[in-house]
Amino acid sequence: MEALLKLNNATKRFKNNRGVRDVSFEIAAGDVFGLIGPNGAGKTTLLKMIAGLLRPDAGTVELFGRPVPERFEQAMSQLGCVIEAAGVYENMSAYDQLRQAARFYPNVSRSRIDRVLEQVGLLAYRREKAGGYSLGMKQRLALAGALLHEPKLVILDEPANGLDIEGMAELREAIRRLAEEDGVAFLLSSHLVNDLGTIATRIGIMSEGSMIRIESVQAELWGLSSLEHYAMAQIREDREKRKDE
Amino acid sequence: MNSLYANMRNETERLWGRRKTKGFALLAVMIPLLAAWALAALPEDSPIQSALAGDLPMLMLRPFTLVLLPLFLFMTAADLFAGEAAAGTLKLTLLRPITRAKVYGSKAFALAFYAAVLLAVLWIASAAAGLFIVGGDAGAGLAESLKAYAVTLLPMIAAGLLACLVSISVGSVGGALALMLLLYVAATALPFLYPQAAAWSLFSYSDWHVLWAGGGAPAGSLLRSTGVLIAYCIMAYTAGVVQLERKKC
Repeated sequence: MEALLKLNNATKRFKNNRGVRDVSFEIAAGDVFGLIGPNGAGKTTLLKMIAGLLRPDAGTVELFGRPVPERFEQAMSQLGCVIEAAGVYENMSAYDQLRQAARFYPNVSRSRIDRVLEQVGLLAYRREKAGGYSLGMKQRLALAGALLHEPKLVILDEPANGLDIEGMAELREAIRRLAEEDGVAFLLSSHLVNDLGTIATRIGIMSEGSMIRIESVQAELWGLSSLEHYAMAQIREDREKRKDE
Repeated sequence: MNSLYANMRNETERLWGRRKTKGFALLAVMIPLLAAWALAALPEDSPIQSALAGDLPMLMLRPFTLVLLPLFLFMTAADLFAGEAAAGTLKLTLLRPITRAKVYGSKAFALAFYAAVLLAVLWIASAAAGLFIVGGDAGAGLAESLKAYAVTLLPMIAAGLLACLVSISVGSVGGALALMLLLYVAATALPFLYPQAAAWSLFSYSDWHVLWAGGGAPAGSLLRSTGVLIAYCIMAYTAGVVQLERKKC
């Protein structure tokens, strides 16, 4: 199956020597790829590079078969993103914000806006200004913005931030349904490791800017232990290895 | 919809949604009305009234371009870039299918659009107030004042683009606004100490319309000052686009 996203030794270094180094992996239609790693491992930097917010210093990021800077608008029209804290226009309603976002895409109808608001549970609040929303509602609005144009690939950075139990369950269900039924690919980063283990088809473990492991999600992989324990063991092993070097 | 056009519509809609924009539009209506009422209250044979009443649009233009319009441009530019970057909404636009150069262009367009709208509102309000409240000479100076308002837009756009550049280079709304005001005061005061600086100070052109009034200045002088202003616009715009391209979000 053709890769929707392909990273080849993607590298980004900051002045403080943090960033990501030589990361390579692919995501195909229907994949749900979970990124795991401690704070500062480079997960958000990696996601920003893929979404074109940061330029790689070395290596390539290909979206839908082309390097990111090439035909940027065409690539971005098939990508949906929520990266870091969900920014919303506080003095605008959810409906108006999505109506403005819809202008960037062909064929996003008003009924589609209502449908996506219903999917994220905001239909009843569509005319209220986002300034009065809770953190979880803002996160839901950001998710609606990412799913509005029915993208082929969705990047979600800490999507569970601020969501309540019901919201998290709905998000898991929506991701599973979109991936299985519509072949939408997801790239997710989350601190809720075990939660990620229930929806991801593959897991990438990052430590100190490197992708130290990419595994298919199979319970037998980490034996009777949880994904969290497995990931922590991998990260500790990587750190020990670095110390020895 | 073309992404540039889509974001131009979005930015102009969002700016209109701000209270500040509506507040400045209200001031552009209220100030000429109040000035007209004050003039109308003067005795009919007062030399001040006869001197000023017929030319209320021109009377209003100078204070507006010296204080209110620059303040609007600085505040709006600070919100458009530094404010949106801090609130995380700039990233929201950058994650849409639009290049950064187009994002910058659409924001600059929205700023210039509202500068033109405010000037148009001020001209209509002051012309109407002059005619109906003070009872000035209808039509005599209106064409002349319309020309003055139209040419005033160019130095205001240049000032707005400079404010955009400052806003995108400075991390916070407060910092961007403070730096712009400081630059404005310094550039306005400098020609008093060094008169030759007036030719090169962007803000010395806020009363540029005077050159175009009446018979106007010599064509060479108008051409040179127009060239300087256009050069300022191009430099500030290009530097702003480069800054946004390099900005880490």
